[in-house]
Amino acid sequence: MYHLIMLSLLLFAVTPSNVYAYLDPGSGSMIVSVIIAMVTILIYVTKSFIYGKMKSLGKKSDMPDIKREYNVVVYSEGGQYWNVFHPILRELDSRGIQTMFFTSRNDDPGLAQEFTHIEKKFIGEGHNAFFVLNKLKAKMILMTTPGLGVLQIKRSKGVKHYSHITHATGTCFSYKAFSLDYFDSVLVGGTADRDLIAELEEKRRSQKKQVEMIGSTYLDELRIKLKNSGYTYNMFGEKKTTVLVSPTWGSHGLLSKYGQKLLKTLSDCGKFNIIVRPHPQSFISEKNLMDELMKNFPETENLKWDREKDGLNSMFHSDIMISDFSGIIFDYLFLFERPVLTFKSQFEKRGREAMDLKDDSYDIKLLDRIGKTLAESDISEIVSLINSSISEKQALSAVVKEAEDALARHPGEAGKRAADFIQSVIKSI
Amino acid sequence: MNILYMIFCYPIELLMEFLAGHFNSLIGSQGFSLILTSFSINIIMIPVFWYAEKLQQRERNIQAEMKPKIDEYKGVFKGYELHLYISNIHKQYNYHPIYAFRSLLGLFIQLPFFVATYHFLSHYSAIKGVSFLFISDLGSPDMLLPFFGASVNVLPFVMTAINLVSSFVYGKMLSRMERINIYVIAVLFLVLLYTSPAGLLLYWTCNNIFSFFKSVVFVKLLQNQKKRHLRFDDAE
Repeated sequence: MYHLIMLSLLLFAVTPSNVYAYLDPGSGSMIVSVIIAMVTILIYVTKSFIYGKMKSLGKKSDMPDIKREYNVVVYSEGGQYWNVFHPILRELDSRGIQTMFFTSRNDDPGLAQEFTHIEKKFIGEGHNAFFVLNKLKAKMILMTTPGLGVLQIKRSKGVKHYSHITHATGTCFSYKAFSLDYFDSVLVGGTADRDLIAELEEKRRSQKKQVEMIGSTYLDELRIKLKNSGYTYNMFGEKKTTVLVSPTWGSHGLLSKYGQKLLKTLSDCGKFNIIVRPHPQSFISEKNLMDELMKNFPETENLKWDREKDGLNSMFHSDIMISDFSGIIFDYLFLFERPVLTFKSQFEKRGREAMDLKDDSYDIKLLDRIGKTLAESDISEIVSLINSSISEKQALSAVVKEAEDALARHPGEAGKRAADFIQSVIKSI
Repeated sequence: MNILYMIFCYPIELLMEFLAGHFNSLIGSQGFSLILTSFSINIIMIPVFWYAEKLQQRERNIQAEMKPKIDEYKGVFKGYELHLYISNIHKQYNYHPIYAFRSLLGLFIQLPFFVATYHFLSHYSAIKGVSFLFISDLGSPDMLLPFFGASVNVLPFVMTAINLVSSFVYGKMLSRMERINIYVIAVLFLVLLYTSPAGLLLYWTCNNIFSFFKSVVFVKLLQNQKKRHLRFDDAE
């Protein structure tokens, strides 16, 4: 109707109506197309202008020298990715490769780390960081931030090579659409992401990227922490079968969908110790839900809420995990070889890489083999499902071995392999 | 404007005058000479219409290809994020909203014909006071149907009926919104041309009959082209 009104107004007001009296339907339709196009372009140009202005609103403090030509730049959005970058920076430092570590959080543990060849700099968040990165001059930049050239971080002409490193052990299946398309290379855990990227490249006929299977740097880091942790079972007074509820956040996450029902069933049966470890983002994006769940299920002798930075201690305590499609599932699998019950059917594919894939990715299919995949109707049977999954956990060893090849190869070597790759790239530039 | 008219429209007007005058001297009927002029001009314009139609079709095809993804993103993203994702879809298809103006080229080509036709028939003194079949004066509104002491012009309704049929055929290639638009345009023409001289309506009605057949052929040809492309894509 809007188009009709526009058309009528323009027909009568802008042009001599007598001319249009000679139009046939084809020509009339052409005028309609033109008017619609003009309105669309006007809206588009206005939006681009407004959003373009928004980009320059950020303050310019903490600005690094953007005229300087850097060798290797590693950009981190914050401390949550320190485990991803630490093994690589350690390796680059030991090889004497000049590297600049930029972070968007001034509490990033990387800023406190002592290196010889690694410089560190807080560059601010959001628009401040985008401004720096979009003007950058460097041989190579490595980052976990997806959506290069799609979201706010654009390819800078001064950067020769853009490399992405995956920050979870699962695949890029749940990344937002076009997350990796404009990178030159991607450092992945294993064959699953390699195949996923190849499928997307073929479907979109996009430029082929270098895909290097290095394993998982942050899993290696967790392995070291676990080895040195000296954890003992002390979260609960009495040792019982311990269930870790550890889902992702958002409206499709387990706690949003079935949190109330699941926690009630688990706590009412009285057979388990329960650790609830929501995704840290849940306490920001779903504060009301968290408040309600914590009010309805307060901490008791048998129920604990875990808000620690890393979930290693909770994972160590538990015998089984209940999750959805959070990346922590695979950390748990590779570090502890214990079963996982998953609610995966509510996964929202729209707007994600998953939407452009023919089939579910390797890690989503794997969920059926590392425990049971559940629907809401299974919650009433959760006690027996937990017990049967724990009793069958010996069968997991073979699955884990195979999954390692697909998702997190070369345990303990990822940092070294990433540094090898970086070195080969800068040598070739 | 006068210079533009002299460059782009006047030669066409001269051609129309030449054709109408010669047809009249050949067959001795102003009415039939208008009909033949209408058909001749339309035949001359076939390549222009075809080119314009192809441009529009190309625009429609690319819009149709991008639509599922744009709809998907509209379902999950909002504001700036949505804008960025839609911009990326455009990038993927090597498209920019400004390209929609490609359709405008076809219109620019046709405009001189529209203006020349109108100008020619408004001042064509040869049809004033001339009768044709059941029309008493080609230079005045037809007033064919007496209605409570006044007269209703019939030719504008005939023209609109043909226009609607033509729109129906042409509309098969269009989106629902575009279809509604062209039906509304057909009705608008009824209002705009209701008091025009019968000669203009005769010319315009013939123009629309020709347009109807042209639409049938174009729809078939473009649909066949699309099928061939789809088969080619499948084979790839």
